[in-house]
Amino acid sequence: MRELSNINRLLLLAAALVILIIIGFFNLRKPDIQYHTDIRSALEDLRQDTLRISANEVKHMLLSAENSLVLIDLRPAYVFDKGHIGPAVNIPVHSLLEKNRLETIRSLQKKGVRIVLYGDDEAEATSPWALLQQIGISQVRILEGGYLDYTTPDSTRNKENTTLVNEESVRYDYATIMEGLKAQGDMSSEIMDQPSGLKTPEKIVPVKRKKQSVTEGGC
Amino acid sequence: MKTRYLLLSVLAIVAGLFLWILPMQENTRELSPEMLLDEIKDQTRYYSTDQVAKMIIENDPSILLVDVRTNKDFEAFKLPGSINIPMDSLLLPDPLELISDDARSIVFISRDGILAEQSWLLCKRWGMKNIHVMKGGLDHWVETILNPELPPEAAAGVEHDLYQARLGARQFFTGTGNVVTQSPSTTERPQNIPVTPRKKKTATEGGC
Repeated sequence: MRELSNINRLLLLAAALVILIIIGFFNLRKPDIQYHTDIRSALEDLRQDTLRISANEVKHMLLSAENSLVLIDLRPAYVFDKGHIGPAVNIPVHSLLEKNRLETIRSLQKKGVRIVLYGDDEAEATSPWALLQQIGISQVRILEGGYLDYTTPDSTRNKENTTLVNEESVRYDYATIMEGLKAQGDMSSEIMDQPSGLKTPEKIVPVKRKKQSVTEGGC
Repeated sequence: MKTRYLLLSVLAIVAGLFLWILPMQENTRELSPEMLLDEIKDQTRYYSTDQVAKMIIENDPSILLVDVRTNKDFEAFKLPGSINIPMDSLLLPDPLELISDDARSIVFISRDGILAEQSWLLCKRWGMKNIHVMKGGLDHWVETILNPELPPEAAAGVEHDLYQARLGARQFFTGTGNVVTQSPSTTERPQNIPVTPRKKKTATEGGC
């Protein structure tokens, strides 16, 4: 009789344990939002997918068929209210993964509408774009130059360079710039040496002081 | 009685199986999408070009500059002290270990900051902590450190101080001390430099 009740107890405990584990298992197993790709595939996708859409193309698409394109403004609501691109929808970054927002975005995708994200600049939209891509919302583009470029006349802002190298626009040739600056430095030092020999010690000491002042400035 | 024993053993085996599978489902290190979004919202990942310049000049041992451009671009121009991990190789075991085991703050650097931002995002998802991005990338480095803009006369003192600091940084990185427009008069140069330290000292004393 004693044996039976022990076994019963053990049985109950084991059953309870298994039930708890199954519950826990299923809770953990189904988070609402999941990655569609592992990290390494995500990296490959980042390197391959076209990232940007130009402001001109957006303007063109908006003029021709407003329903073909949806602009999503990622900036905070109060910034959006101050000024945004006409038909843009405001989805501040922090709310990007909220259920209704994601549903909106996914349904737009299903309809075949082109989705374009923008922030004040491209960098602001890059991470949200990459995140969406990793949870399965692909074919999204980032507005080239962001809101700030969109709203400045074509002539002024830095739009001359649309050459892309590894997804980054090439604006400066660093090596040439450095050479130019170093040459200037050499030139001025040559001129410095000419007037009087006393100038040379003066040249060395100020440089030291300069470094100190930069540090003290940080205090 | 025997059936009860049998049932008990079956349950125990099932429990064991679940417990075994469970940890494999979760990669506890990797961030979930929601956690990743939280990190995206946090702007403290950005270091300005001025901050990075200062860290290089002071030889700050707590940071590691990681340039994610191609090796070709890196060799053409790189920031002093930076190492090159092209983004394509970022998640390979060796580079990954190199930067994740490092106790230092990693600062990702790229041309305009976009590649650096993407690198940051992937490493964040992977679970790395203490990683940063130099805002604006090397393009902004050119615009602030190599060719700093002279603030208008009426600008606040802070802006002028910043400009002087940038000139100092430029001196450090290129050997050029003077702004292009001022170069005609060479006698101005020795005068310029002594003034700067005095300015800085008073600013520090006021703040400290």
